[in-house]
Amino acid sequence: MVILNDILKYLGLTLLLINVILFFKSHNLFQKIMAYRIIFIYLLVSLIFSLINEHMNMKKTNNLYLSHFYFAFQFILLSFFYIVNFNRRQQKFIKIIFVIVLAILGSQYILYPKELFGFNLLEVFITSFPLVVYSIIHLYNSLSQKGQYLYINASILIYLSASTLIFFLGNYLAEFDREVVVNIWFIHKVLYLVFLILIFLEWKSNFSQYKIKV
Amino acid sequence: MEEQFLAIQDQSVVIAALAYGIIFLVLLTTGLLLFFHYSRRKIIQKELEKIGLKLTHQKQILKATISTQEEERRRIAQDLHDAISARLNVVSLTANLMLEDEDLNKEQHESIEHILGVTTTTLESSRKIAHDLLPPILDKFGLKVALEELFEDFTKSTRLQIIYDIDDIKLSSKTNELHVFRIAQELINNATRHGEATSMNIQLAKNKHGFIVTCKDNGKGFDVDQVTKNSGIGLQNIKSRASILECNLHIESTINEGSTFIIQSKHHE
Repeated sequence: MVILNDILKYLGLTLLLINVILFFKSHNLFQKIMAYRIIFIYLLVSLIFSLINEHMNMKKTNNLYLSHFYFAFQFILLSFFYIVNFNRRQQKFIKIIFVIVLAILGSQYILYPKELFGFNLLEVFITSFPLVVYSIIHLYNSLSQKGQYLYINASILIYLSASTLIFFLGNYLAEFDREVVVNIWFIHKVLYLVFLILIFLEWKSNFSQYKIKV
Repeated sequence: MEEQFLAIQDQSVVIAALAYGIIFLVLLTTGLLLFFHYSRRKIIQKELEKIGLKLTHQKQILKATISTQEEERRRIAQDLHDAISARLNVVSLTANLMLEDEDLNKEQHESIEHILGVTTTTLESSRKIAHDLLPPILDKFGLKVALEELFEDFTKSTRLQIIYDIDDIKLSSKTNELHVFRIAQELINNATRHGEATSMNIQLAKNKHGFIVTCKDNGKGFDVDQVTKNSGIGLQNIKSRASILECNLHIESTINEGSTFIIQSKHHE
């Protein structure tokens, strides 16, 4: 199981790298399509995070505090992604949530800096749940308009909702026997692979054709 | 040792619950995605049906408008013939009779000759108007002869030279023949009025599904995209008649190099 887990991990990293390269190949869209720009930055930063994470894992240092930056960055970028695709009223809604979430996170870390060294449940919840809600709103929008970025939206919906559940038990799992927990991380990695494959499909259906046209 | 074993067993229960929880969530979100996907398909299908209905309705209205127009033309032509031409003929006959009277002085004689001249030209114009409104030749001798006459007329009376090649095609009704005739008329009008063409090449031929009209001129040409988007009455007329005849209208044009119109029966399955 542990070996399979490792294989999946490197498969995920490779796929992430491939996605970054593919998106980079369509870089002429960078000026033209805002959503493309956001997804590209998201993938690139995800790759950097994964590499730092891998490096720290090898050195056996505690890397849990990295997760806070990851959640915050994910929340900010994906909020922007939905702002670009929503109508005016929904944009206002996102902006309000955005300010509230960042205010809560900021004040929490100023008041309780200790929280930085473990999984912060409140943080996991307030940075993931709004994104799941946005993705459902996006699905709802796609009923009446031309559905755009449905693959990315699906990937966000599936991966975020399931991974949030895992991270809720993150602190608890950290104390568990490694042999037992491995199953959960296995599921998590499979989900992450699905997430990356869906992003790849999005690139293929939406951005790769642009390259030919331009 | 036993305590540790129990602890691990406890942990396994939590892990199993979590694993099922995750699988449940994944299935739930996938279900949600599928639900939206199929709803979306259904909505799009309904919208398409609606648009289809609207289009059919519009087509019916157009058809009705054009047939009313033709009916009105026929009526006006008939009235011109019955009410005006017939009476003018009486005036002209009477004037002729009066001219034979030998008691008339020179002035009276001249006046009556003047009346006779005016009546004859008016008769001629009314005959021409009626003829334009509804070419009698189309009814009597069919589409081929009517088109030939139309082209000869244009070639004689304007500087436009028309070269034509017309097959004797059979259309399902007189009304359809009239539509083809009107399209040809409109095409020539457009070429002379807007295109300032000096020569035209018109072909009417049978094909597998019905017929094909090809009309090529050497006029000024135009921007097809722009004209198709907001077409004038003439082109609109051609389009509607083509759609009534269940034909495709294809336009090609380059500025300063003339234009080509192709009207072709649609393929029926």
